[in-house]
Amino acid sequence: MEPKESDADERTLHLADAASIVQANQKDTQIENILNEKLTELLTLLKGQLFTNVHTKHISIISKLVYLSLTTLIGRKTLGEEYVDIFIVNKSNKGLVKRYQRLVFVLGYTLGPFLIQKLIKFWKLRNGSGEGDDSDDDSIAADENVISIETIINCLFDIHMLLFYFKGAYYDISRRVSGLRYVTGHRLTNSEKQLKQKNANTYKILGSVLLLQSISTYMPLLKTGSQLLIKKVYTSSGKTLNDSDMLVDKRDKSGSISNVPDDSRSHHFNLSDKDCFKFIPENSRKCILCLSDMTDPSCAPCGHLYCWKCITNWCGEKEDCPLCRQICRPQHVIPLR
Amino acid sequence: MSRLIKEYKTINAQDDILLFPETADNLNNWTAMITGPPNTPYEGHDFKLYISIPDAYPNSPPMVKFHREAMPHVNVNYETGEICLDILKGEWSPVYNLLYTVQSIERLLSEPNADSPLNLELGILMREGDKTAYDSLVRYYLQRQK
Repeated sequence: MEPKESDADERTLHLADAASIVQANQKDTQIENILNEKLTELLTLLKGQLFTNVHTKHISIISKLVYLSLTTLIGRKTLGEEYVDIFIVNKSNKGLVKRYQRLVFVLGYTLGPFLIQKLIKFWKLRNGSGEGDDSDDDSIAADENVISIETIINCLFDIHMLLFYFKGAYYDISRRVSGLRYVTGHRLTNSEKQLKQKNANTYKILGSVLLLQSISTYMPLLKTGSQLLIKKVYTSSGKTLNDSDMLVDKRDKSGSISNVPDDSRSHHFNLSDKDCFKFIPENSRKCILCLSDMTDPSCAPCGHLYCWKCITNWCGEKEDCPLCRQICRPQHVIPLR
Repeated sequence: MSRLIKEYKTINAQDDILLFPETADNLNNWTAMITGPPNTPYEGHDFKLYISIPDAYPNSPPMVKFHREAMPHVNVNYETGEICLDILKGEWSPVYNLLYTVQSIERLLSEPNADSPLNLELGILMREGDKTAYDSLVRYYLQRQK
């Protein structure tokens, strides 16, 4: 990014900084939204409200496509680019981009996210139907793969954003893929240069924050991934892990809670045992939710008793007492001891 | 699922209730017969209810429907047989069971609720307070089916 005072550099234009690229992009988004709104209005008139409600995504894609086809694709500036006076050049800042590159960008930018979403959905569906005849272990592994394909995409996106904040070249993944860079269309004065340098620093701070955030999100995942890998290596080499290791492994999947003891290991109070909680009368020892003798009788704030599992499961659905409808948050349920 | 088995046993023990699973080995689909309450236009008619139990039961309500084009009622969609009743939607509580649900629907026949109409034709008559017209229209629909 350091400008050198040589003859060749005198004539090449400065690469645009992150701030102006973001600004141009915001302006474009704004205009795309206006276009989208108008198109929706028109379609509502022609085809009715239901049609526009069902096809929201498609309409937004079409309006983007129209906007970019009329500007970038035929080699004109978009309104946003004009606003901050930047224009598109190729990767090396040596010339303009070719028509096919622009086409790749336009298609990638408009249809890309939509297609990726469809692909993931399709993939999941295919995987889901194949799960039935697999053994238990395999289906668990397949489950994790589905989770990780989304996280991989998110991760890629985050890395892309990080690169943008630090290097300030490509704001969209589709621009990165098709190699569309921006340069400023005029010569920068010294004060302008200083201002831009300052802006770049702000973006670097933003980038560091994002870096920290992504590290904290992906670390647990990486840990789980490596553990899984170790497990696979172990099983393939013929060694078996002992029980407690497996336990930790399974609970760690979420990346947060670990070392939760297995259900069978914790002590349960079961009211089918007549000596347990003798103060509860004979006719109210059954849980009204599962209709069986209560296991771990637990008290809602209003005083009604249920099984711990029954009432906490219901509270996840709706936070009120099934009997009297008083507010009953899961954190307020008290297990009897 | 064990709760459904318990409900099945209780229901089976009483023989005056017309509520039974469609096949003995599957408790996910039930049918019920309800009779039109006396002093309503439904008197003398029997109605079949189709009940399907979601996996999350009893934390989710059972899904109950009339036969399509069989129930002219302000809270029932005539074409589909779909029922609009608070306890089948947001007001469901896991304390309720299948029997209570069916009884509530039976009660809905004698106490139609004009505030949530699924049958607009009947809903308008009811809002106008024209009970005679409402009852006659219901009778007309029921006659026509015979």
